[in-house]
Amino acid sequence: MKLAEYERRVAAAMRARDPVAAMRAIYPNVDADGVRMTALIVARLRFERLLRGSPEAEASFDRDPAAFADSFARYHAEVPPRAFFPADEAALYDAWRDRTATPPPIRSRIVAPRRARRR
Amino acid sequence: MIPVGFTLQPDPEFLERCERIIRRANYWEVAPETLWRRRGDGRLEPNGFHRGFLRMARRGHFFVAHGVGLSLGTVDAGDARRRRTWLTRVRADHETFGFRWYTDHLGASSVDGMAMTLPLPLPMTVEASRAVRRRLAQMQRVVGDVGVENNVAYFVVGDPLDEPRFLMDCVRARGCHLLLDLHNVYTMATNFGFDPADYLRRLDLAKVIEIHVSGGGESSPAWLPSGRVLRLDSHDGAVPELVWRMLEAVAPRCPNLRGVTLERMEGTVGDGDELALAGEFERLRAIVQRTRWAPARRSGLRAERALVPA
Repeated sequence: MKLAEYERRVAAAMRARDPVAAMRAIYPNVDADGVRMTALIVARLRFERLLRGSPEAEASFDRDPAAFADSFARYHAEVPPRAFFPADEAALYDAWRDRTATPPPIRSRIVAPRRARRR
Repeated sequence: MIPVGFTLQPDPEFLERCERIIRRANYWEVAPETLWRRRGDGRLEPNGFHRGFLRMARRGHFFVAHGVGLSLGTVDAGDARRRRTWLTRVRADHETFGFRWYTDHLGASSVDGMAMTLPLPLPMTVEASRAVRRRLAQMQRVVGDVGVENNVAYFVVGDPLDEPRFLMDCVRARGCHLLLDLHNVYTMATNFGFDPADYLRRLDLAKVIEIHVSGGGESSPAWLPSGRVLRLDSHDGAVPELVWRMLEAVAPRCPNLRGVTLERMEGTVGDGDELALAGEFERLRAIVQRTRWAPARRSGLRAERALVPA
């Protein structure tokens, strides 16, 4: 396999749902734990880049680490890591969040009756 | 005496906590890309730390550059523009800091237009070493002396003990050097189950111009489905005793050594860690001070045996 093809497939494997299966499709004997750890570190480094670039993301993580981690995992799987600097990662994340944000429940969009608003 | 260095992290708290070490160091190592931000037009500009670092510089201090983002092994043609932008910025930084040498990691950290950040292991082939040599030649047009650091990888394509041969093939050109990271060797040896002495024995230590010393930690058993714990090159903990012993054994056998650097990651120096880190720096300085060059013939087997854990 040519080097360019190897690199493309390894990079894809690092973001695959099953990195080990993706890597073993190239190299059947590759160490499963090592591949999983590499994929985890790639994700973690991106996570840190995002937090450095986005005070809002950092605050969100501080408020609810588990929920933010879930959100980040979806982001990492859906959006290729094309940002090399923290501010660019923050912009990518914001754009993804805007695209995927769940609309608020219908009830919350009901305009309050005039009387209630006066109170 | 061989100069001893310390990493400058672009983090005010880190710089404050490590102030004593920073003053005691002979040189400072910076990761150029951590000092940049991207402008709207795509060009790179300083992110605010340049002036502060230069203000800290005193007579006698010098800077070395140790990047992680140039991506020495990448062959993707789509990465050429990013790389040009990168090197243009390094050239501007070199004019500011006067880097004595410029090193990066073995591996590919930018692939298919994506920032992996962690240098991914390369296949140890002729094509890959040729790609690294081409990249080093590009770096040399910016900073004359360049080098490759033996990377830490958690998986390898091939035999991890074949890496020294591959590394030496990558740095065979004049002006291309090896940055020997002892904790990376230690981490690979721990995770892959080989003796670090076997790895070091395969290197041409005359190519080494800098040695890195650092610590790390271990992964949590909960991270992997197998429950296996791996050594991590996280630069967030104490330097292991074996790494100190490796330094004592190897430094005298590196006749072209220009510096030994203690590395530490920002955000990992907490309350009470400053003294321990300062102690590590003084230990490093003491080892380097008593380093005497050993003729290769005499220093061989005995020194290598000293690396084997008791």
